[in-house]
Amino acid sequence: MGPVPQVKSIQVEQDLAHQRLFWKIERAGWLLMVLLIGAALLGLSGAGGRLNQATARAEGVELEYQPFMRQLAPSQLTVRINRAAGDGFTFRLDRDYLSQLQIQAITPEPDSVTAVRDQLEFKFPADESSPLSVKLDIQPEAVGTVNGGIAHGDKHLDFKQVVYP
Amino acid sequence: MDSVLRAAAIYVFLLVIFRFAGKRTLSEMTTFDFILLLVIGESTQQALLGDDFSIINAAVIITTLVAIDIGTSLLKRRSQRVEKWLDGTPLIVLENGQPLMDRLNKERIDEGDILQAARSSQGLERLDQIKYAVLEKSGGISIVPK
Repeated sequence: MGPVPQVKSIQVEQDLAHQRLFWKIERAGWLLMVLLIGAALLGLSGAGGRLNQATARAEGVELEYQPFMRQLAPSQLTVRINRAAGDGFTFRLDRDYLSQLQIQAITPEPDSVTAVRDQLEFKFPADESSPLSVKLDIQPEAVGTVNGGIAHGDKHLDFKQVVYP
Repeated sequence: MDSVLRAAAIYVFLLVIFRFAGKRTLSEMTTFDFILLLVIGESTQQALLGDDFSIINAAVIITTLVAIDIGTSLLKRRSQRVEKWLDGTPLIVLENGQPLMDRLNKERIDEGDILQAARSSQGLERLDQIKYAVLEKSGGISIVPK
């Protein structure tokens, strides 16, 4: 460090050029804070908010999911499926997707969960009324972009979620 | 590894956010400021620890935070530029009894704050008794009487 400069009669490290530049940066920082809060209120930082609800649809199946999740924080998937002919209610989720999160609960509970190639098939009692709404409480473990896939019969839906650290 | 990165991220985030908040934010603490500080500490704690409440995790996090703090203090000693960016610079806010209004406004302080500092540190009664009032890096106002 150099010697402390003298401003008029007082010896003080005042640097007005730096101070003026910093005031500008400070104001930009405030704007950034407002934008961050706005984005969070809209849901872009995960948890609740208008922009953190998305729906993907295909014939006979509808998926509600949160595009923005937080690592180890609870999130939900809601799957609505129509009864398949003579087959009760089934849907399949990509195992790749499931390996990146934990399923905490499934409501209602499936009759069976079986591995079918690279997917897990969830089968529900056939006597439920159609369409059946299934809620999956999930908790993402990996950080980053998570690509999901859900299948119902021969229909397949892809969806993408971002997990914040 | 996770704990070190968490601690570093929180350190940098707090550094930036409190620089944006300005010098005065937590220097003169009111009761409410104190409570605010506690709440900030509480919300930081969760993000720092994650779901791991082990002693080793706490030890790694504390070591990381203190090490980064030592590191930045060393950097500040080496480079005046770094010091200016991290700590800011002192600012003369009153000269020969005349408040420098644009500076006071930018730093969100008023004549009352200067008078309070003058009374408590020097026992002065009026602005015209002050030669210099300096808003220090720490956020305090120091008074040089005439």
